[in-house]
Amino acid sequence: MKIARFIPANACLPAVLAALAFPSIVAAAAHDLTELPLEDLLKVEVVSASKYPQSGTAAPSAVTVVSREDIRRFGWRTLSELLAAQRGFHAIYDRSYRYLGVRGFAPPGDYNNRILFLVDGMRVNDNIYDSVLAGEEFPLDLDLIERVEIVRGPGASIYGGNALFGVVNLVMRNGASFDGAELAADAGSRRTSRLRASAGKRSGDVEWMASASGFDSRGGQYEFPDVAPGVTSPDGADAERQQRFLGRLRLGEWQGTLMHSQRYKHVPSGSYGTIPGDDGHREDDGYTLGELAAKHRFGEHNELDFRLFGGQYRYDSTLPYDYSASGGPSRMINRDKQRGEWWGSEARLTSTAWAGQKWVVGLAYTGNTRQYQRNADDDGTVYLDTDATSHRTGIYAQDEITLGAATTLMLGLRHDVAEDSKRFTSPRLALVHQLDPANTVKLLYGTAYRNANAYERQYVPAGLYGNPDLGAERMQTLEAVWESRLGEGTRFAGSLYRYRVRDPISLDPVTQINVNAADVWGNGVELELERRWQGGAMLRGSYSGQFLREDGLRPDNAPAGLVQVNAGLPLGSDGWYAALELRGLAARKAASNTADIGGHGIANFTLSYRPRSSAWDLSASVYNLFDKRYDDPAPVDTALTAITGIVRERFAQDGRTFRLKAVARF
Amino acid sequence: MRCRLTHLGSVLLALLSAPAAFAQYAEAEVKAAFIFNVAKFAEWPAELLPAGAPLRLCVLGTPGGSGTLGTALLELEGKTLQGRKLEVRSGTTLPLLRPCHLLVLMPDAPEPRRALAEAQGALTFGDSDGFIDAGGIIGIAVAERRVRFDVNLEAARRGGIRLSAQLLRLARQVKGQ
Repeated sequence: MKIARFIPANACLPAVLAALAFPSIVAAAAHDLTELPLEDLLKVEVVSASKYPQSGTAAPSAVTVVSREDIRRFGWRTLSELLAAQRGFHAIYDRSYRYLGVRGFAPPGDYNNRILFLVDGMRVNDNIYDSVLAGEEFPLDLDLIERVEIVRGPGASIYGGNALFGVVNLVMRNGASFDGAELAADAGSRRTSRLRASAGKRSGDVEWMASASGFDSRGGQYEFPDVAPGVTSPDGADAERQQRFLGRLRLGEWQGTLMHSQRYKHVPSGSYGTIPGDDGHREDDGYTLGELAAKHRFGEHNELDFRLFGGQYRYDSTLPYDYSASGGPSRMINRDKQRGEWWGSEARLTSTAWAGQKWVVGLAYTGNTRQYQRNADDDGTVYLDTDATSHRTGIYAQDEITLGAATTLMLGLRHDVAEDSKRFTSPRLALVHQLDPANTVKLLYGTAYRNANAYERQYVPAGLYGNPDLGAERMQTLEAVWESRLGEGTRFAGSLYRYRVRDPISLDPVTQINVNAADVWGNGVELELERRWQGGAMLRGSYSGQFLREDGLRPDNAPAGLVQVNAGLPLGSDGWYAALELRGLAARKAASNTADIGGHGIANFTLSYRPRSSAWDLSASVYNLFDKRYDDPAPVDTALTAITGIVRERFAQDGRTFRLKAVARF
Repeated sequence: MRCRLTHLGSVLLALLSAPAAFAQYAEAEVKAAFIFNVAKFAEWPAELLPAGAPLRLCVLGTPGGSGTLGTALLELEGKTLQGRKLEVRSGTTLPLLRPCHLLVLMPDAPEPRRALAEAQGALTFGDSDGFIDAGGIIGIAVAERRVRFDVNLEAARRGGIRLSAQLLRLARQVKGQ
């Protein structure tokens, strides 16, 4: 009997009996697949087609790849939590949105418009705020991500506007990785629950996947003593709901994707000066994104990527105001509404036809067919009703030249004609040298720009905020990277950088008008050491020192230091895994450099179980394990200041919270 | 005889999941084991693999994060194959990895065709479509949840590598027989 060969010599009798009785344990006992004879190996059933495809981020840079396995093991609930665990990134929350900072540059309230987010290369940033919301508003479920590629530094030479501090590309799981159906459910603190049903399959040249999910959180009750002393927000004033749908079909070289999401958030904080404790303050965000893409290889060395895309971004808010001080009603609903619609196309040719060179040339067009913004009271008073259309056209080329056996030079250039016929030229230069098989050094120079967005230019209710004369902001970075493999499974990455953001667009807290502010200089260092052991244990620690100056002062929400530790340990060999995450942030400034927010450290812990068959898995997570009380700087809120005279400095963050999650596959 | 707790655990698990079919493994793990296994059926010319020399497996491209084929291959380091120690090296520049007896192309390997042309003497593996048509020797695929493979015998001969008939018998397709 052939299977007898796999029974380990030291196995005890029950195991032998069980092995004989149930074939499923046979291979499980042979933990080392390499010891199976080839014939038997060809009979083993495989799950998850986790290839490592061509990186969607073409630029050589300081890249981090986060795998699906890490997402599961560390229990990240939102993209913002995932990114906050990566070196140089931090995130804040104001009970409306989550804002990300990269390399210390994190003006609170910027809606993440200086990071470009892509899903399989498709732009997610909308065309009103040029932003991406990285909490539950984000249109893609974390569970549907195969991996996240994070490229730090400017990426405008390929991607154009908004790629100032980084490009985050989310690679979606493909149909084959489901090969059937998947159901997931989780429940957590503050009456939070989520359900997801997904399915996918590949047969020959046809591959599809579909997914639907819903999220519901009752939220907590809070006091904001700095803004509304003695008022506790009512139950439900922090509630959040969200729905997401996704479908994808691939036929040979062509692939169509449709994504739709809508989030509804009640805001308990009285931001913008709404009535404290009124549960009618709501802000809703939705995205619908569609894409038709093709990848065509021709000749031996050429690949043509083509995409046709369209999108819609929706924002609706209801803001209850008390007008009684000026003789009006004591509760009036003011509504903000924004609709952004766009379509576009991009063609990119990658060629290695010339020996020792890799060319990428591309042409991209985006037509903003609708940039609608309206603000009105329910009694018919309209403060703003404006629509706009605009275009962006970009042409780019990049050449990676192999100089000798160990050196690569990369030259990139992109020219854009953006809104208001503004022209931008974004060069990039990179030199990558492999010192020996274990050590690589990279020298990088990059530029990027951000044109003022529709919100910054055209959102002018009652003469405030918007400024049509805003200039673009531009950024330059110089960076040196050293990457090293220190023996088996150990990796070191270090980088030194210096950047300058010229004319950053920000809201002047006195005039309440958007202006091009003083230049921001940043100097920093990032050090990361990672070790992964055979069997799945891992340890990663990083330090980011980030020293920013604006007019001689440290900008708000720019921690001078970040320490991030992620550790994971398999418990036994049966699929139990414990993962611990530590995040420390140095002190920050807030409220236009007038307030100090103390540093803090928090720990998150996730215990998960996945049997060898991968037919299901379970996890239990505790966030903010030690119930640490800490604050994040508040976004600039001039409306609140104008109405109440109060300058908001900070938002208290959640204490300890829990989540239990189960996934089953069929 | 000592009875390890983990075995008890797997017994319980087996009992719980009794009706389930054969165990499933991550694709990357199976593919890595497959590559290791296929190497047992290959013979290199003595000038390329002198007696007592270690056998080197080169991973060309980015190995990627956990759960990817590249990482699974890196974990084979130090195993014994054909009575030789297995060395695993990864990188994006082929000349720095040499001498490679086994060469696995990651999907992001730069200039794969050129690498295959220059990898004379290496038993080459890849899981991209059309790998053997591009000059690769062993093309790996997954069909009906099982690992399948195609062989380009002509390319193997060009590289001076002999593959046993037993291996060819298990292949889905043999080109240049």
